[in-house]
Amino acid sequence: MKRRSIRIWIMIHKWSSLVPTAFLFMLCVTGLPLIFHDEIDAMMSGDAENALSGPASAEAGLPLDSIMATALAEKPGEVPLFMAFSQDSPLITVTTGPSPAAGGEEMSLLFFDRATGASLGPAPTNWFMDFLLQLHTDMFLGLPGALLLGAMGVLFVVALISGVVLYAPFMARQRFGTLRSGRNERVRRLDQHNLLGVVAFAWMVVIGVTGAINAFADPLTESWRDGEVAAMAAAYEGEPALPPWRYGSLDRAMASAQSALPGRSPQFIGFPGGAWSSGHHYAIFFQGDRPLTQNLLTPALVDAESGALTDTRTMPALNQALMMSKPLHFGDYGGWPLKVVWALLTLATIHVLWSGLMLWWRRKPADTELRIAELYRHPSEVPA
Amino acid sequence: MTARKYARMAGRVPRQSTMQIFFWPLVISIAALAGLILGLTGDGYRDVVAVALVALGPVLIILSLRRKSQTRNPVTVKARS
Repeated sequence: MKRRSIRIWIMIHKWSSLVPTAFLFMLCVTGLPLIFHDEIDAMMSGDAENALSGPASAEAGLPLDSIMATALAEKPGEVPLFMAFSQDSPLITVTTGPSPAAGGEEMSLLFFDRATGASLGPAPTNWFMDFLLQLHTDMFLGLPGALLLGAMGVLFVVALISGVVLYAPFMARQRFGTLRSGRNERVRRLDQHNLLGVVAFAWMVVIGVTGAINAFADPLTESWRDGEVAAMAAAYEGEPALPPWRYGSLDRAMASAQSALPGRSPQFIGFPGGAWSSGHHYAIFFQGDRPLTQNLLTPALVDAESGALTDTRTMPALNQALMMSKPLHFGDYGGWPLKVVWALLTLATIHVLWSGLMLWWRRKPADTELRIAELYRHPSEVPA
Repeated sequence: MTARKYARMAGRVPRQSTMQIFFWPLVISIAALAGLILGLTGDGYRDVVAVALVALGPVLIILSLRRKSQTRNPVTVKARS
């Protein structure tokens, strides 16, 4: 690599790292406890799901209509927004709100045991974890905050790639894993920065890319609803939205959907007028039937009044990428050992950020030039 | 002290090719990516293999940081000799 190229890559690495550094520190520090949110939630509020026994609510249990009737009796005057199933226990969650298009802060989440019909009370809330999640997702700034963090994720990936490009000339005469500790603080820090950075590289790229994709979750869902769902429900165009008192049987709707998608397990139902459905349909989202497609949801739109199937279509590629990127970002698909590895790699990322920041902060004006000159000290050893 | 000896003590080796420089980083990155995908596509033993593959990086980092310093300060060494 030529001196000029090295200088350009150093410049790219410096600015693509410095600009998002503060955001990346915040994302790592808030992300670390979020990795263990299941365990922390269970510790702070009790594990409602673990205490239940019986078939998974996605597979069997009491009729959905009777669970919904109990939920609405607990929340008089409210309308159903979502019904979510568990793949592991009889726990079933019903979300209600004052109107079909109610926002997140107006929603009430209620837990039920589908095996017995027992009401388990409101879903426990954990203000600390909710606070961390909100900070991590959009810094309490809504969509602009999420998009800003998404852009920082893209810069992070640029910093990682430029870092690996620079790894080659600077490590040409060092064996992999060398940590020189006898020279000075700067050399020690540089070696640690290089080693931790290159070892955690692939994981950091995956987290950066999937994090950036997740930042576009809301606009992607909106575009799916306005495009694909509208096309699926084209026959209903121009009709006024179905009022909640005309909603028909959930069990009949589920039976229609399952006859079109046999063997699939439902994950949740989006009710008419919400972000996840049309104004006239129950949108029943089914998981894929193989491990690879388990995270990919296929919606079936069922007329909420008659219970007849309208259409079922796989989600567009971008929405599928979003669904696959969630587990890859959260690291919640391999049990607690994977979570521990996730946490260790997050700590490694914090170390790379900190050592990089310190290398820049404690630099001397001639440092970069000296390091480049050192690479070319012997005329016979000009790097390729 | 000869230049070669100094270079060895400073942890330096003859200039390596790009393939030599990136051999271990590539092995670790491929293992991590394979682990991430393997974990997503199955349960049971696949999860165990997935965790082991992704954990290769952190384990190497911990081992490297725990290893005794590879080089001594050449200045101190010279003063003693």
